[in-house]
Amino acid sequence: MGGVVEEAHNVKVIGSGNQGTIVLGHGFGTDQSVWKHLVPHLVDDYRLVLYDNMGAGTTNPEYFDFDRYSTLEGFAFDLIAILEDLQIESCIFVGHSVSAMVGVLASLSRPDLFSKIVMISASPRYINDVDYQGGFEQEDLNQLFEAMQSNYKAWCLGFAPLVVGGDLDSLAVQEFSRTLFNMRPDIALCVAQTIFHSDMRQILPFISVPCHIVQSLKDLAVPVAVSEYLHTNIGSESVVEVMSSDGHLPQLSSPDSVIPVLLRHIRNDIAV
Amino acid sequence: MRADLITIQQTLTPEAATVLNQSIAEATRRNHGHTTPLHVASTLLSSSSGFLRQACIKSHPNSSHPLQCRALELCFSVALERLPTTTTSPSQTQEPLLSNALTAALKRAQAHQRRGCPEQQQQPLLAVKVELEQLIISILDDPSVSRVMREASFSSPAVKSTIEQLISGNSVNPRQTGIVNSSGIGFGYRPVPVPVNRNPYVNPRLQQNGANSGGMMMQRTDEVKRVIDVMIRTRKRNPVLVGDSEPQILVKEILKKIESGEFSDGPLRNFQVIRLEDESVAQTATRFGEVSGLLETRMENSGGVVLDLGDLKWLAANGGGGGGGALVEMRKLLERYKGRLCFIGTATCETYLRCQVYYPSMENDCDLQAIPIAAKSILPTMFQRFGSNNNNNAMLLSSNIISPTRSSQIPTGIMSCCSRCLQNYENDVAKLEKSLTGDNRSVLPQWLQNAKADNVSDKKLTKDQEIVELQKKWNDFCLRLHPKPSLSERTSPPSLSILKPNPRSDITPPGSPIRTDLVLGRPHNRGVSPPEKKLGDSFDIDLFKKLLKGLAKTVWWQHDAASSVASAITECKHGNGKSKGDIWLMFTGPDRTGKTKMASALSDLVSGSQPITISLGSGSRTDDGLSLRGKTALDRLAETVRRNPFAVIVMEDIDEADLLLRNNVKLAMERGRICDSYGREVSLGNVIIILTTDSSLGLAENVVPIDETRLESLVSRGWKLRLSVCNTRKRKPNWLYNEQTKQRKEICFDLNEAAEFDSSSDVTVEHNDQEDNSNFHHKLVALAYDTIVFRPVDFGTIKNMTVESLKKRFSDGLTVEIEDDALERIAGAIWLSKISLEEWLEEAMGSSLSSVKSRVSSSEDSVVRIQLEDDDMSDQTSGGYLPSSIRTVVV
Repeated sequence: MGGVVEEAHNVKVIGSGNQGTIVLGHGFGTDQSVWKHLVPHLVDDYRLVLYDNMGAGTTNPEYFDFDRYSTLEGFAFDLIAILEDLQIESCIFVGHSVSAMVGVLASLSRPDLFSKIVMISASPRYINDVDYQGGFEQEDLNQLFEAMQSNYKAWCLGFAPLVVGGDLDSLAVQEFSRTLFNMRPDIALCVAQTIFHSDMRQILPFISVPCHIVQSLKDLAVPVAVSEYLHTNIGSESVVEVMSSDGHLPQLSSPDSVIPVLLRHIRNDIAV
Repeated sequence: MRADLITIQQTLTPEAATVLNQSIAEATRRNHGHTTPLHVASTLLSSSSGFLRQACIKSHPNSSHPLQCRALELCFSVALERLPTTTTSPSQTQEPLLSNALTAALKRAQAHQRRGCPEQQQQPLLAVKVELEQLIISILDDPSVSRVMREASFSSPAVKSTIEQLISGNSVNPRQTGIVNSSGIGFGYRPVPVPVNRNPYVNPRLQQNGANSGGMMMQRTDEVKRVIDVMIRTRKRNPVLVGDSEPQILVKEILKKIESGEFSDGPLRNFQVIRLEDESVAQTATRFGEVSGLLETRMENSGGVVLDLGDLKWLAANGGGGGGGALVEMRKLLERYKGRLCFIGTATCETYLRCQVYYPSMENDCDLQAIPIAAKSILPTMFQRFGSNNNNNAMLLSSNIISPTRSSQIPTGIMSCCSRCLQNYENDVAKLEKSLTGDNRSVLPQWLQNAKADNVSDKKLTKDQEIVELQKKWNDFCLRLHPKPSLSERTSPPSLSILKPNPRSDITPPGSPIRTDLVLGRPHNRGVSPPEKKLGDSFDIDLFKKLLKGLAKTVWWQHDAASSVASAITECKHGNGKSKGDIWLMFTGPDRTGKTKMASALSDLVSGSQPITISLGSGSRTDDGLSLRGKTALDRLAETVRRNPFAVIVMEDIDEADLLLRNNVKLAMERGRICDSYGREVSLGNVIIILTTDSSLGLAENVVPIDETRLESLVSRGWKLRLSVCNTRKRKPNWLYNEQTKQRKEICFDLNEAAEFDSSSDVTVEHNDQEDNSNFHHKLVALAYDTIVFRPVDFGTIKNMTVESLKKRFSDGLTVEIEDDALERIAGAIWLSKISLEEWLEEAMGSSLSSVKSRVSSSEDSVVRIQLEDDDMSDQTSGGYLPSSIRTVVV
């Protein structure tokens, strides 16, 4: 019988590799299935931990504490709880989108748990600011939240192709719309607000874990400048790779070109 | 509880204990029921030399000003204000208890402290004293505290790491100790039976549930036993399970036990169960008549009957109006079958309280006994959700859902083909299933197996879809080979029902509806016959001339723009190598009237109708028809395109569109089809879409834009014109000399312009807009077929033109004087309304003009003056801005 935490987050531990533990954190509107293209390449060498963030369509809405998840810290505590629960001493954390920042937050509380963080399409802040290009204006976001509230389904179907960046009929878009629509609308709104209003810029200098920053060249949610910003501001050593892919979920939409890049960043460390 | 507190205080150093005591005192003072980490944090902050304060100041990246800390203190006190206060009097004498979060934080601190001194690991917990620093760190870890800190723009992880840096000087490297203590005395959740000692990072909701998860089965059986105990006694034997966590499940379990005869030796022996569940309110009230009949028959051949009333919300609904009759019936039934009839029901606390209010005697009348069900119990459904993750995922992934048994059921239901084709189909399905499941006997989770299967077959269809495909294939095949007319309709619609793989949810998977809609959408578009075009497919130059003439006539002040529009349309219409039928034009520049009139003229010329305008600007929402309510602009656009594939559509103020729409418009420009928010795609056909924006990029002409609001207020007030013909000689000093008047006019314009310039603050606003949207704007410009720049218009030239045409109208050598006020209004009104000057003159002035002409004998020495009628201004003109008639006076 698994622990409550594992059950609540649908934690799955697979693979028997002895090269260490990799924890995969999915982003907003998806669940652990977003890693389906990556996982087969890792199961032989690593022990993989997959989990769903609270609020994902596959988790129990009863457990979603609107207060706790009004900041990213709530998610970060969840992550630490999972790692504690599994008694993981050290792991490579691969975080997509919001999970990258969640991983960073968790690493601030418990640097001992993380040996490396691979960030995919991460952004410390989504709203433009003086001297900072986050990609969104507050006005844009207000409209976005309004649209979410007025008709969630319509919003999902409109939002998914934009975020994924692919063709409307592509499997990745359908997949993302599915997981996005699986979320309960009020929870999705809460999570979206938490994410889009987050500002992690102040904590970047405190990061002590090496970070690999990977992102698409064309990403609606994360302009390329953001990766540069992360690179210059992260306190620890970091490396940036901008892939030629399109969209916010490159590991789902263009796995052929993206998976090799991710594998390279997972397997190799930053040369000192 | 007090003993608890004393024990806890023993584990703290004197410093830390003082802080805790102060926090408790603070909580008491504020009349809070619990002492929370917030109290502690606020206490820690309040001492000005405090450790936490220093760390906060140090950690703040922007400023190290003490005022920042003041803000933090304020945030904490606000947070404390928000905490609920206890109202019960007895608790006032007691000290508030420690909240769970605080207890957890203290335990955490203790665990950390122990880590700090590995040599003491074997000692009992009590031997380790928590130092203040550790207390602070664990308080900072508390989610509620870090939230408040965030509100004051502090980051608790940052503060925490600052403190850790401060400590690490005289302490052991935390990373090392973390590894040393990997067994995690206070952290490993499972090995530790005491609830407070569990993983501190866990979502409290999980913890709450988790606390009972171990003993859950026991708790459940306990509750079942309690309910049964109620049912077998002689009085108050009708249980109502009250709780907010779906007590129905418990009821179901109990009833199952009764039905299966588990209580064969008690008073419940041979009881049968009748369920009233899922009855609507009205039915329930009247159902008891029928029920009594049913009861009668059941009573005869059984020991008794348990009547499941379901959720009592029907009793409380309608303000308690409907339930009275039912209660009377219930009471009657109880009296009739004394001891042999037993009710069982459920209710939420709220429902039950309401019932008690509406029917005060309910409990006594119907012998009801409320049994509170603890909300904490984890429901079996939740466990199903967690426990059988694979099933769950399979459902959600909509693949592998059709088990072999099910797939064998499907064909007969929806396959409409003959037996031979059916067999072929079944073979195919079997093959498919084999290919999907063949190599998946691994430890991987189910969704992963699918992914692999996908990789192997490189097939984009999930199994469901494939099966549907197969069904369709064989049905079609059969239809063609062995046609049977009666079956033709049955083929496709039933297949929709299996497209819905998740029977539990009311959500249809996004994939399927899109598919159907698309199929339906396309032929519809093709079916629309092109309306007759005014412009034949004549050669370019004719079309161009025609367009230019038409456009330039209406929008004479934007001649350049008119010619670019004409040439752009001409080029697009005649292929230019492009097969796309849709034309996108950008109208930029501040001349709103010019753009609107241009669009309407173009629409009139191209499709013979008015353009369809979709306003995206914030100011122009008022004219939205009722039919547009609740539709997004995107849907409106898609709908418009679908209905009028040859129309001219104006999307006004595209720069004010929201992000989604903008991006969708961009996509539509690239692809030539538009996708509405339901995922339906519409081909853009032959529409001409005009996007307008006010910003004029790269156009920095220093012309004052026309203040349309001022103009509108001027002309909409209701005004009249007077046409007076007077003798030249009398008026000579004022009006004779053209030079003089001209001069006057010029002065007037200058004044006006200055005034307009001052009042129009939106000049700067436009600049901001321009910067914000320039990126998007440039993209659109790149994508649009052509960008037509509407130069800002100087109202002076408009007025001059108006004068010119007025004078022309009066022709035959008459001298025309136009009062400046009158001129401004005429020009403004013409500008704002759809009518052209010529039309208006014809309509309003025609008669007065001829009468003037007839009266003026000698054209040489007479002057026609057009001026404002100043006597009765109050008379509001009914239609539009312009006066419909003009009074003629001969002086």
